[in-house]
Amino acid sequence: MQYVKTIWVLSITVLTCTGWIALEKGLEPPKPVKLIVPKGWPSPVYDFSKNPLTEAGIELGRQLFYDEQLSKDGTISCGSCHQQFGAFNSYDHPLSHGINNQLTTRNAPGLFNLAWQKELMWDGAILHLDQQPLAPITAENEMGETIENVLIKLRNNPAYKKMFKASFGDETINTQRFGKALSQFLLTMISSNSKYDKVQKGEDRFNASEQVGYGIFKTKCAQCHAEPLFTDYTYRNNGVELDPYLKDLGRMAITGNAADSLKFKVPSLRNVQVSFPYAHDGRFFSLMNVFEHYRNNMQPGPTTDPLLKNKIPLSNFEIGQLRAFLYTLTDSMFLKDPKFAAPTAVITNIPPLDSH
Amino acid sequence: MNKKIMIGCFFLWMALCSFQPLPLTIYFKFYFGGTILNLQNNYTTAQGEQITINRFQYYISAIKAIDEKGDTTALSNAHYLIDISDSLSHTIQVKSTQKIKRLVFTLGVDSLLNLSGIQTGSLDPTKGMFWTWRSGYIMAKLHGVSLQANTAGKRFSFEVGGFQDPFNAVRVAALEIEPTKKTIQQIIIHTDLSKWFDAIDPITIAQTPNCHQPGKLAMQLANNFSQSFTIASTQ
Repeated sequence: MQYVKTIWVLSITVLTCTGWIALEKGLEPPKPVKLIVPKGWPSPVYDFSKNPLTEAGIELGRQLFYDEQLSKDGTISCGSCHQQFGAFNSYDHPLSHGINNQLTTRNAPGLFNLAWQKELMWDGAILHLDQQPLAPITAENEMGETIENVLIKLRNNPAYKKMFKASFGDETINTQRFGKALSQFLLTMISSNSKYDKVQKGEDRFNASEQVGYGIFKTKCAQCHAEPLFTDYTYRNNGVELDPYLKDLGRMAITGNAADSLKFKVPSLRNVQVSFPYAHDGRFFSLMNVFEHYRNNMQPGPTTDPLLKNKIPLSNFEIGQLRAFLYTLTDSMFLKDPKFAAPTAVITNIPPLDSH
Repeated sequence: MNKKIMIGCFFLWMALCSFQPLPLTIYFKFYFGGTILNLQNNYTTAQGEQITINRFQYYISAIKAIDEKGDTTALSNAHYLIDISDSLSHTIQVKSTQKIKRLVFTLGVDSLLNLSGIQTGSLDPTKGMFWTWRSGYIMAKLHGVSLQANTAGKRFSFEVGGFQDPFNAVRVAALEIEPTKKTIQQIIIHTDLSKWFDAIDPITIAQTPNCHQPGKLAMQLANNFSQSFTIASTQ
């Protein structure tokens, strides 16, 4: 009889514990996803410890990326200007479009390999991937919305509440979680399956033109468009003239330093075949325009990169071989990967590929 | 007897556990020159310009106390957004400490937090104190209307920010406190908004009605603003 109390205490403890365990089961932790760094690549600069990738988080990010509610009038999503078939650039648009028939002042760059990119935008204005979406959402000539309104729209949507809970443990929807989810999706967008990559892995071979082009590339382009990311992420003036309408001084607007006038971030050449038009304001319609710029048209100024002070001598033959090599940087798996497509869209097998 | 001692000890232990020193409460009060600031009123700056203020917000962080020996005690590591329109934000509670000789706090946001993703709480970008076009917090924001502003709606708008050299807008305010034997539990700080226009560099709205990016004007405004604070009383 003296053990009755003990038995009671024990049974209550067991019952409480069982209840607690059952509760835990109801809240399944999101399935972690490991980002695979392609062989031979440097370590990513993104701090994954602060935002571990999960299946639910990536899916939420994809949902947000393609959600037109993020714009003021519900017409533009991130995916409107970052189109998969153009390696997530604004396909065939010199300047990206905003709400109310507005044009922005810059070319929407392709989005891939963002885990290796420390600073974002053509001028390096944004210093963390999570913060990046806030810029186009709030810009009046882009999505024209406020962060507060975006969060209100998401909070009013039961589907989003569920997705935020699945990703972050509870239904709280705030700016931080919004940015983290978008980053999770963006970080998975790795382009590393081009013919060039297969050649590097010994799974394929360059043809004669590609091989010659690769040699020319390594002597004349690779100082800035460094392998394996095909950019060194520095800011350089490559002899572009100031556009009298856009008056875009590039990096100087951020640093306030005249030495940075007309400097823009070196873009990656991966998927260059599909990411025309080129340069920060889309002024080059085709790769031929770019080659002509470097061999003839560029205007060396006081801040022009020293590597370009004699322009880049290129013969017609070299241009042909270079182009053959650059086309090996097209990652058709990336351009068609259903993981990156709009959640309900059917991936077409015929992207509007139109090489100039 | 034994039981009584045990129970006594238990209560003593409970009391010790729940004991927390009284916090230090800091009150911010707003003035323009010698008069209490009222958002509807007209004021004249040192440059003779007529202004009405309708928005005033700033961050303070890293609140510390320095004692007579020069030792520093951190009173709070939080970031507080003081908003003239939100009276709850005018009062903050931090840890108290003895023998404070100088109260030191940072005006602005810790530089690391500008570039480590998106923050929550008082640092959430929805508070309107984070630039979205470039990474970085606004340290202090002053909006208003002035007859002398040659702008649409006669508006002037000072948004002082930037955290990278040479245009780092973060400042530190150090306020002397009269020595007292007891632990200070209350400090009233006067914030004089007239300092924005003349504390160090004269600012004329007619010439510079807007400041929206890091640069020379932001540095001048930051220097001026950092001179706004005085301790009115302690208790």
